[in-house]
Amino acid sequence: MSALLRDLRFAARVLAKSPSYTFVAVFTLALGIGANTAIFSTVNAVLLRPLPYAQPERLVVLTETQPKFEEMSVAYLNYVDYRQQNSTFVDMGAFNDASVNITGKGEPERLKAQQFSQSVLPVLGVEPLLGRNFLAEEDRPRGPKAVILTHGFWQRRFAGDPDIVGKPITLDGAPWDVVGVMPPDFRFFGTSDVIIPIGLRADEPNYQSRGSHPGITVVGRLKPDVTIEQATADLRAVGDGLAKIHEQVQDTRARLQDMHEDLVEDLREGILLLYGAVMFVLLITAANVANLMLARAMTRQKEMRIRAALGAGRWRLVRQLLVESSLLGLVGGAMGLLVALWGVDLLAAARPQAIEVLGPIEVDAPVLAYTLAVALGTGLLFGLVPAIYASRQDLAQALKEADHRATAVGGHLRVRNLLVVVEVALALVLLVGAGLSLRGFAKLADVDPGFSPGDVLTMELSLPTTRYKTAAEVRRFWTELERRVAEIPGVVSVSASSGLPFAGASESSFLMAGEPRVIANTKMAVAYFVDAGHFETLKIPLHAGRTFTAHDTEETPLGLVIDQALADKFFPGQNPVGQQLQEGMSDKGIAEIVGVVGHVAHYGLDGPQRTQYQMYYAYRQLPAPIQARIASGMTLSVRTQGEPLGYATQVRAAVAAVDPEQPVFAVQTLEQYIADSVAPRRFTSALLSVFAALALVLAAVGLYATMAHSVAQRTHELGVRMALGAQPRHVVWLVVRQGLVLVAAGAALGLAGALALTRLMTSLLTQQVSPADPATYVGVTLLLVAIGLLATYIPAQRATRIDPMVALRQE
Amino acid sequence: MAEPLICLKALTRVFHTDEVETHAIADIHFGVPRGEYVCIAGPSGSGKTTLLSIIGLLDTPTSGTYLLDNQPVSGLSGPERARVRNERIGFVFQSFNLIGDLTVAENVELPLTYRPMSSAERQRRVAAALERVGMAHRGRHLPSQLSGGQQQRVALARAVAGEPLLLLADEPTGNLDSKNGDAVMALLRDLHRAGTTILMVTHNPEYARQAQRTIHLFDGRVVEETVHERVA
Repeated sequence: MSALLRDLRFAARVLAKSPSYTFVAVFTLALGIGANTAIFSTVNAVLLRPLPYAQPERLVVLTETQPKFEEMSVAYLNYVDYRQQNSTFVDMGAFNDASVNITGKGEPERLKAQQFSQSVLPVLGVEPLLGRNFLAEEDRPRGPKAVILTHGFWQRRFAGDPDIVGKPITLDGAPWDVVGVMPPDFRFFGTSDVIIPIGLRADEPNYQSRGSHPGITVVGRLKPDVTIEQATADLRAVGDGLAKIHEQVQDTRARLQDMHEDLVEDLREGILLLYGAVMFVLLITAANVANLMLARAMTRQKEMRIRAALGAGRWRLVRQLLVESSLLGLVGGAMGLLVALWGVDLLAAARPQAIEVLGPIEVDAPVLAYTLAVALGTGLLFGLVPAIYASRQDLAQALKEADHRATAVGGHLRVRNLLVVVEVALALVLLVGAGLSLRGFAKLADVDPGFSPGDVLTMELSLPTTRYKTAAEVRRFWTELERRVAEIPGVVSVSASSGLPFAGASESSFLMAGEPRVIANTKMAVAYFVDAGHFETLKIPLHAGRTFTAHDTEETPLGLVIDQALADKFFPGQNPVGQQLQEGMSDKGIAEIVGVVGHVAHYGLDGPQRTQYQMYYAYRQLPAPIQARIASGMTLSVRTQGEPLGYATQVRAAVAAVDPEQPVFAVQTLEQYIADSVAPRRFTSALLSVFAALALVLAAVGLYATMAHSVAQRTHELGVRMALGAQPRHVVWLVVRQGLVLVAAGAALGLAGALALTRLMTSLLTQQVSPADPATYVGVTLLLVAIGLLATYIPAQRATRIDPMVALRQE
Repeated sequence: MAEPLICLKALTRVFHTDEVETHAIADIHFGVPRGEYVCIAGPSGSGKTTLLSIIGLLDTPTSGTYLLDNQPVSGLSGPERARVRNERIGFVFQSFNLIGDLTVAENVELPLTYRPMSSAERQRRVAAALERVGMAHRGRHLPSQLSGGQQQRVALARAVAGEPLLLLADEPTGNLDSKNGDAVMALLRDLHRAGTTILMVTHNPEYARQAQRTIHLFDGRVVEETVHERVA
């Protein structure tokens, strides 16, 4: 132990004696370890940290599946039966998202709500911070209106009023009693402002139809020792029983997934990809510092020889050097932690909402332990090779000066060259990865979404049923609002709709005219409920027939506008206009196709479109109850001349003129919806690009350091060459060629690695870019060679300034 | 009198170290006719190597004139000096200065690679030069596989492979035993007989006498010139 302390003291003295070397090594390590720690904090938060609920490993998420739909929300009545008839769950609870308007004290505001059954919080093992959970009588139709506030909303809207429980607040124009406040760290499938009982809506038609899946997900707690497979079998037995009674349950089956897995499955690939990228950066860092240590080992050969001559064994020398490298690693790790804290703040600010669902990204105890392990591990990794080399001493050479008569490349230089080759290869893999994702991104900008998203302002409005009780009242609101907005100077067109591309829409079933109404014949389409002017506002091209007008009302026959994809598939070689479909949204049953429009990219600019076909209803033609329900929450789209957000104030004023108590929310451009749809990919691509740039810089620094050291070592040889008449260009080419050989070897290795590894990053690649995209490979290789050339050229240029006389005197 | 290949007039080289000014050579005047074999002698620090470096265009004089083959060369740019060194001057150093990673043949070929010349011509000249010094059979060996005398012969072959006007030899026998030293001196004699102009720095009076003339330096100045009898 005392020997180790002695080594440690000596190591500290040695590092302090060479401040430049120590600074460069610590700085490099801080970058590598810092980036690694920052990303690990995300890995920890998303993939490793247990969910903040009691015994989270027993929590599962229940959805439903049909042969044509891999995953659907749960029909409410099915949930009720699953809950009552299962034998494998402690309990289960249903939840979905909603929104409500808060009015009264303060500004009217649209709130993000979650609807929970009374059983959700007990299933999670979570209790409110203040107050209580819902009572059974509050979780049923026409029960007392009870609301639980989330901690953030309680702080924001009510300044953390400790007496809030028991006080009424006005939601959608009606009084609701605050019965509880959730703890600050409570998160459950995202964040919300308020939680209201789901059972209040249980008597609504879409909750009472087993064929309707109104966005409900079910969380369940398994009984001890019950596996997901056993629970699935149990629920499927329940489902089989229901299918015998209810035709709509035929082919519908329960689907269970571990809750943590359900939350992270879409994030895992991207996060592991980033983690892989920072591991590459860390390896490059380690190689760089190993390179530095090797160069330094050359200058300490005499010291090592003296130690060996005095009787130090090889292991003793190795140990001393490893203590030095470990100390460097630890100091680099400590500095890296500061970099990580800064990086975590950046990640927290830039992370997509999907990551936020899983809780804060922070440097906690597991992350600190990881950083310590990485710092020590990296120290040992980069210290091992130099230590082994430095400890190989030829005692016969001890105390002799080196023989300068002939310059030869030593074994250590070959190792240094090898390290540079590895660095270049790793950097190239990262560059290719980043290049592919960026190129994919650039290509996405060229994808035609099927409509013109520029110059369109959108905002959502939700009309409270307490004040807008009838379809006529709802219709009147929208008519008046559209009229007022259309009068704003600069507004080109305006339309309200339920459902927008990239912003979500319902899916509805349809059948061909005359087909028997059985599940096997059912087809699904994205269903948009629109007002006149929708196609003109979004500039969706009309291919045949007509679009909707103000004359399409409840009194006229139901008409449908279908997209070209539906027309091509089901009316090949025919004119669909005038033909009929059996539709599932109205009680009219049959609808006539009045127009055909272009297909829009509803689910994203690329990737699989979950539902292939699209159909548009004129919402005013729907039966009054359905019309009132759909039109109470719609999006207003306004095409403007110039910057759309510049019109927001005037459009808000128009809303206030129609109804002063009506809040608007989600005010944004249509382009922002598209940008949001690629946010996770943009986040990962941006980080990948940062790491690739860092890797490139580190590899260039490594190459530069190796070449500079090589030039210094070859001073005598270069002097001889210059004495013999070598021109500066000969010297430059000699050095540059040596560097380019390393770059070429690294590039070849890196290209092979990239071809193998980029196939793992499919989630970041678009349909427009293949993992073997030649342009990307050529582009990043040229970039790498150019940077390598620069890193080599500087020492090469310096070599031309060698004075041959001085060099020859070195002999 | 033959036309002078080297003509030095009032040549001075001053080194500045901190605030100290050192005159390594001062007011050097002499000429070397084409085909002459000249020895530069003098005690350590007398300026022999500095003078040889200036003549070899490895260094520039602080003042004075240096004409090589009637051309002023002291004001040439770096690349021009490199070209003149490569095409007109051959060097032999005390420590051989062979490049350890290159074979014997590659070392000899090295100065030829810095001038436009076909590969076949280079190989022919390399073979001839190695033959001349009796090292043709060691062309593929590395310098580390040779004795000191053999290494100096290779260095000599490298110096003459480019068929220079002038051969500069700085203590060419300084690192050799007497037998190898004699052999190297014999080679220099042969080269001189073949018409090469040689300027040699040596401490060895016996070897100095093998030259036609010895220029004695002391404190950076020419203090004496001795003309020797023609070597047989």
